[in-house]
Amino acid sequence: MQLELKDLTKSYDDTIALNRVSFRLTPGIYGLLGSNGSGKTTLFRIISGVLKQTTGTVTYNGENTRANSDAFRSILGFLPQDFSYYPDFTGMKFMLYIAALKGIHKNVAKKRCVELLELVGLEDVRNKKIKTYSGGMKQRLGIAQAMINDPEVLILDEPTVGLDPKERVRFRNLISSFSENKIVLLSTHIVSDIEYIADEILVLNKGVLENRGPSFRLIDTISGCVWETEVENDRLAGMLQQHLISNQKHAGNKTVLRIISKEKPAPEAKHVQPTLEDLYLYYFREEAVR
Amino acid sequence: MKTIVKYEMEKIQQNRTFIGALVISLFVLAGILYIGMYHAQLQGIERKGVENYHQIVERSTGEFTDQRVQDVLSNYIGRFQQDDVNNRGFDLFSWEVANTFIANGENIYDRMNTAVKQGETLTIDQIKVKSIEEIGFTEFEKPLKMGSFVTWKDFYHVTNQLFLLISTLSILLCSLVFSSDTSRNMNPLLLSTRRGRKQMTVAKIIAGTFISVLAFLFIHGVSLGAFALYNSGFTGWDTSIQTNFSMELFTFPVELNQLQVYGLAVALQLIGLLAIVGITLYISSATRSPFSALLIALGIFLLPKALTQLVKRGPIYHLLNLFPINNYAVQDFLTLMSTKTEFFLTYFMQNMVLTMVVLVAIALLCNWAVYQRLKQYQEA
Ligand SMILES: Nc1ncnc2c1ncn2[C@@H]1O[C@H](COP(=O)(O)OP(=O)(O)O)[C@@H](O)[C@H]1O
Ligand SMILES: [Mg+2]
Repeated sequence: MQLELKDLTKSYDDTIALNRVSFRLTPGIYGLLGSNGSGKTTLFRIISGVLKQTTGTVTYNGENTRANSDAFRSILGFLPQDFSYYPDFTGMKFMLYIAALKGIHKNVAKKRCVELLELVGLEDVRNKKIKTYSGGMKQRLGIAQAMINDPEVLILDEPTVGLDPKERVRFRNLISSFSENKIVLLSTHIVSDIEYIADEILVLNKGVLENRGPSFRLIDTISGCVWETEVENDRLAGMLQQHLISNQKHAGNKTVLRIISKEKPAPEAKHVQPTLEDLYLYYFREEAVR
Repeated sequence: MKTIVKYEMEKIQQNRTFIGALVISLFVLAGILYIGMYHAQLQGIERKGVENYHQIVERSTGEFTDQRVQDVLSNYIGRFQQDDVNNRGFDLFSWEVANTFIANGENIYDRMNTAVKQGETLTIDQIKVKSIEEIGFTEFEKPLKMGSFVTWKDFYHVTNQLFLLISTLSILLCSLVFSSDTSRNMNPLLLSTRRGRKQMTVAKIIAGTFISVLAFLFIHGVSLGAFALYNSGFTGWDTSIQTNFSMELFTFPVELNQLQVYGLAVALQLIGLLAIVGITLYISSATRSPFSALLIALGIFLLPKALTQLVKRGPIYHLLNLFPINNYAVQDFLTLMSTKTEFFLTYFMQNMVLTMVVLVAIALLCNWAVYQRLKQYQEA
């Protein structure tokens, strides 16, 4: 089982959304990390065959997914970003509709849909209309529909948007238990969603795949670049101006700053263990809150 | 496949726009039937008109001969001069016969009124009645049949209007079929499923076509029922179309009775509807919002009519006359298709078949194009 992207480029009139992205995935959970506008959605839409790439190819087990699109779509599960449901369908009806589109036999579909709705915690509302669902419920319904056909390749575009912390935990467990011998690729700009469950993290920045690897290895790349230091409040403004700050905590008339920097930011600064969040800031510093 | 069709139909039925349009259509249908039949001229002020009409029809039904025309007219002027002026019902049947057979210059109504005032009676011998041959009615091996026709003319008129209603409703519904999923941004999800391209497209075409045809059958069914009430059954079904004096199709070259004409009209409308549905579905698949799909489809539906205002001759004009908007009306297709100056071929039936074949071809071609489009479709 192998999903391979070669030299994928996508350009719109005035922007290059993806720039020569290449990678190869074998079974496992992959977190695609990127800030808004970095090209995650574009990449997923190309993989799932709904958007045409400018150049490059996507192959699955060596077969071009465009040439063999029927076969690829039957092993694909996809949760797109930003769509609106049919408000008068119930959750169950929507699931059954997608099951029919995925070619699941009627006899099996019902059981499978009930099972999945239970897994995402929607069993109580499955006969309620979708217009009565909250954002988080819709999101969970979206996750459930992607899994109906027990896909070999599961692609989830920002699946955790709108989920509360409890739901996030449930989601992570669901994905972990589902992922055996499957390729799961999910995007997010929230680090904690993937920090623990992803076998590998792919960092996509402005359409370029900047790095990939297990999170500890990626974090390693900035070891020695994360510092903590206490500053007097009168020096605070200057420090915030100069440095990339990943955290600040007030303690009396002093502030503890967590700073990402190649050079020592202050004489009394001490090295601390970097986290994935620090890494995110390191890559996506332009948008970092200063 | 059946399951997908079921869900696609449900998606249409739950659409707000469609529900609204359906309700409005029912009102419009009621309005058309009310004005076209219940409130028809024939009903008269005291609503006894239809009863009187059928008495006259009964007396006048039969082979269309000069003698029968004479009888009808002599009865007519007899009653006209007998009845009290204030009680005189308007005999639409005989009035149309008189219009057809008595030369304008004869001024019979003035002459009858004068005669009555002078205590005399104008008789049929004093009036010049044209002969069937003189007027030029088409002759076939068997003589034409005369019978109820005023109600049928009203029925045809209603049938024409219903086509506009059904077409508008179908255009609205079919313009939703693909574009509403596009506007919901649902395509990435739907088109990335195993059956989300070929089977779903076919299911959508079936759903849109099926609901349109269902609406067509329902509306014409209701209209047929209303006509049966209005006409007290289907009397006059075998009256020759040439002797429907209100329609003035005296020289129409094919031996058809009124029921056959109705059958042709409905068949032509149904096939026209399939073409309209096909075109609209294609437009729906190529637009991003239901509203623009609707506007474009309505525009294309009406365009051939507008173009006939510019082009009134030649092959392009003939081509325009193939489109439903130019031939849906009973009188229109009967006249247009029976002459080579208006249509491609010489004979009425040839033109009818040609039109139907072309419309079916348009429908199939559009459906095929939608299928091809979505089978491969990727956003650019
Ligand atoms: N249809 C489009 N037309 C033009 N530009 C687009 C279109 N879709 C996306 N983009 C641009 O492509 C870039 C990547 O967008 P996207 O893939 O949605 O990013 P992400 O999902 O990571 O937030 C953005 O700069 C966005 O503005
Ligand atoms: Mg996105």
